[in-house]
Amino acid sequence: MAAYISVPTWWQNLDSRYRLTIGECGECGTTKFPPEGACINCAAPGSALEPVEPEGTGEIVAHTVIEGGEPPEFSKLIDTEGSIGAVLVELDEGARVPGMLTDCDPHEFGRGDRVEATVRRIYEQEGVIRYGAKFRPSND
Amino acid sequence: MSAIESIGLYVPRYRITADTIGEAWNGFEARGVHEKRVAAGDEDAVTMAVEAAKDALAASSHGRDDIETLVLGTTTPPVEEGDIGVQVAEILGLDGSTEVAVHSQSTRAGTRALMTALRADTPGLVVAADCPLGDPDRAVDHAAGAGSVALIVGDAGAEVIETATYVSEYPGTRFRQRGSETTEKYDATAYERDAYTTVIGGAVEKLTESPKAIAPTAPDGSIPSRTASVADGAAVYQYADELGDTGAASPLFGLVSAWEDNASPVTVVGFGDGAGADAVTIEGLLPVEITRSETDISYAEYLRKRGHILSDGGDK
Amino acid sequence: MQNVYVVGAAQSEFGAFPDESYRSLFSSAFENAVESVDKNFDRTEVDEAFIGTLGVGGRQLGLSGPAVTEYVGLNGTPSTRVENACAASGVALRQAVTSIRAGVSDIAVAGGVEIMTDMSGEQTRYWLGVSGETEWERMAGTTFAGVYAQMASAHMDEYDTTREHLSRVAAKNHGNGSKNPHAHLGFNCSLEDAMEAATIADPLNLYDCCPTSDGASVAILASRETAEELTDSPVRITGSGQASGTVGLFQRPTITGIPATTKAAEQAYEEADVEAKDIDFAEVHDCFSIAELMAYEDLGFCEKGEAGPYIASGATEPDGERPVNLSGGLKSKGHPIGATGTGQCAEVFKQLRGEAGDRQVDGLELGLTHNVGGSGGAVAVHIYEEGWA
Repeated sequence: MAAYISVPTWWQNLDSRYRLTIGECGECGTTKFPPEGACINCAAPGSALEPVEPEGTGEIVAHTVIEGGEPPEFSKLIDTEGSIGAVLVELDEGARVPGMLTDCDPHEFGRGDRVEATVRRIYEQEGVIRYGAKFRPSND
Repeated sequence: MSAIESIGLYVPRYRITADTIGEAWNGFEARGVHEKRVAAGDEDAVTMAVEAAKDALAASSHGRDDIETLVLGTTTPPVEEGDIGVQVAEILGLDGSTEVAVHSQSTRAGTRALMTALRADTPGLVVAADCPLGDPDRAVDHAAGAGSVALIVGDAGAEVIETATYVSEYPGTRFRQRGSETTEKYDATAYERDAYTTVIGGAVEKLTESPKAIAPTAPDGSIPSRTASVADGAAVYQYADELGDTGAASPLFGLVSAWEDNASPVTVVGFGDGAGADAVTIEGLLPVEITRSETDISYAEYLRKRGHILSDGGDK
Repeated sequence: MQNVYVVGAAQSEFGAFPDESYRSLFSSAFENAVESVDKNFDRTEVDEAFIGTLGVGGRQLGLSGPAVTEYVGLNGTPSTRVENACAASGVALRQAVTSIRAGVSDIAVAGGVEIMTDMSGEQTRYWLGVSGETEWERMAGTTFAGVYAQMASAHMDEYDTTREHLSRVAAKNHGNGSKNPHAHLGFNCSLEDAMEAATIADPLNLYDCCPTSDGASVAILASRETAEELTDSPVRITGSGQASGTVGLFQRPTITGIPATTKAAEQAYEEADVEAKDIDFAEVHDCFSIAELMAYEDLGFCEKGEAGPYIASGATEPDGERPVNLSGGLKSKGHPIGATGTGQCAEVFKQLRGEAGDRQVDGLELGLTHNVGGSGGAVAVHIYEEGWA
């Protein structure tokens, strides 16, 4: 059984799922992910947020490796990859995004490492495959 | 459109050697393959297609807003029904009026995709992405690799000189049954070789210029050399020895190999079991190389990543 | 702000009870609480009940308040389920306090209940995930332990917090919990065992994580006038604070502390007219060891970044200057999500009245309870003093 994120719920934020679209507050310039709801800095309403497609690069600010006890929708991923690196990435534009590490051994990376976004399978539920952004080590 | 403006590619990081597989099975059964790439648990034809497409766009003077045609070719779409072309277009952020098509059904799908894009009047993105799968004890699986190649077609770049196509039914040489995850072969070697050389030959002989260099579909590292007999001693290019069977992408990886060798002109021949062949002769060179690093894996990891030993077949 | 009196408070056993239902456990806690009232208590006099529960397992999601209050004979009593994840009954406590302060109730019941151990492994992992931010954080594979592990990774990198500091929380709380007959994991654990346990979500290991538990707890509150008829040894709530924070770590201004704790504590301190340094003892929300360390900082018990050295100094041991989690905390006592808040109240109640048995520390006068929902989306803080005012 997986967390019930309905397909329409997933679909509502496809640009943020695929391309990490963030919102820049028209009042104070703070960026937020995803681009909806009140500004996290000045509380200006969501309508003040301007959607911006970021570069997709940033730095890991929090990091953990899940070896077990994972949400059931990721059991297969644990089976195929052995562990999941769950990170908080601060994009170069400022907004913070939660994401999985991919294309690397998550034990070998941590706070301060640079990463870049790439699109991978997130999980499948009720026959519908959900794709989204994950982060891999960046070369820069 | 008449030229290939840029090229991009992607191969998964994980690599397994023929020796490692051979140790598990008392011998490695795919001829001419020394090592190959293995898709991670969160990769599939869609994700690999996106990677190659982004790579091609980055090498191109065209931005994604200029792309008006997107054609995918794959034998392993993650869903049997449900337009993955639209999904790739959305992930890339292409405009809603993009003409999107998906070719599937055989390893000819990559060159089919190229032929389709060449017929359009607008700049297009062609992507062949594949990760075939067989039963672990069969040669098809021993050969099966993973990767993707993308081309941006426009009116300037490496020129497409001519194309030809030929079909003739050879039932059951290689197929995947409906609802099955794994590709099978009839396994009558002479019959399969006959299909390959006759149908490829049928397309090649319609070309006005006999190929000097040929990049044919490479289900393993050995059968491509048989095309030399139908293409009068042409140099044969393929990447199956290092990547394994990359399905619909394999003739385009052959093009990569040819361009790494500065070979021009090159005739790319997509062969698909059924059978049919498309021949596309290209003159000119584009810079390209495979720079992805590799992480070697064990046979047990290979089985897990491919979903072979998961109770529900994995997430593929 | 008007004082409200805790005239009775208790918890059920916390643990794994395949033969108990959420109703039977609530009943057990309720009867224990009734028994803890010094004088005769007539349950039909309860004016209002607030019951905290997440409904883990999907059991009785609708009307779970009435489902338990009717079961213990509170027929017709206004009964409301409170949901704020793990802060549910801490917030239920505040709602009961507010009801009495508003003059709507003379006697109000606050409690909580949760059953967590009767599900399959897969269901358990599903339900543990839903206290987090579901749409984005969970999709990053971040388990509940994962979010706190991310905070730990940042705290350990930014300050001098070490692996040993984390494990000191486990060793201390197990030492306390071993004296608690109601504790789920009431066994001792050495610092070495705690440090060497298997990794759950790096850097957190098994001994940095509280268990999933079944259990219930109840507090019976009264106005001053009514309390005189019910108790000889009053415990009064002098301050109540609540605050919200972002549900997901990614939209929060800091990842090395829980801002809602500081905000809720400020409100409680102000109402009680005390400062952090006046607090003699506390029950804090140690769902993970790092959570207790951050609580020391967020509640003002020590400076920001100093929680590691603070615990290493022994200050929060039973014989220290400010004992924390004398009950055994969530780590040893257990964490049935809805029941934890009022369970903390029950420990403070006992300590202030000298009824904490082997865990009793003498001379405690000012207590604090700190109850957090999720990774900090909701926090409730209460301050207690012994005696009439």
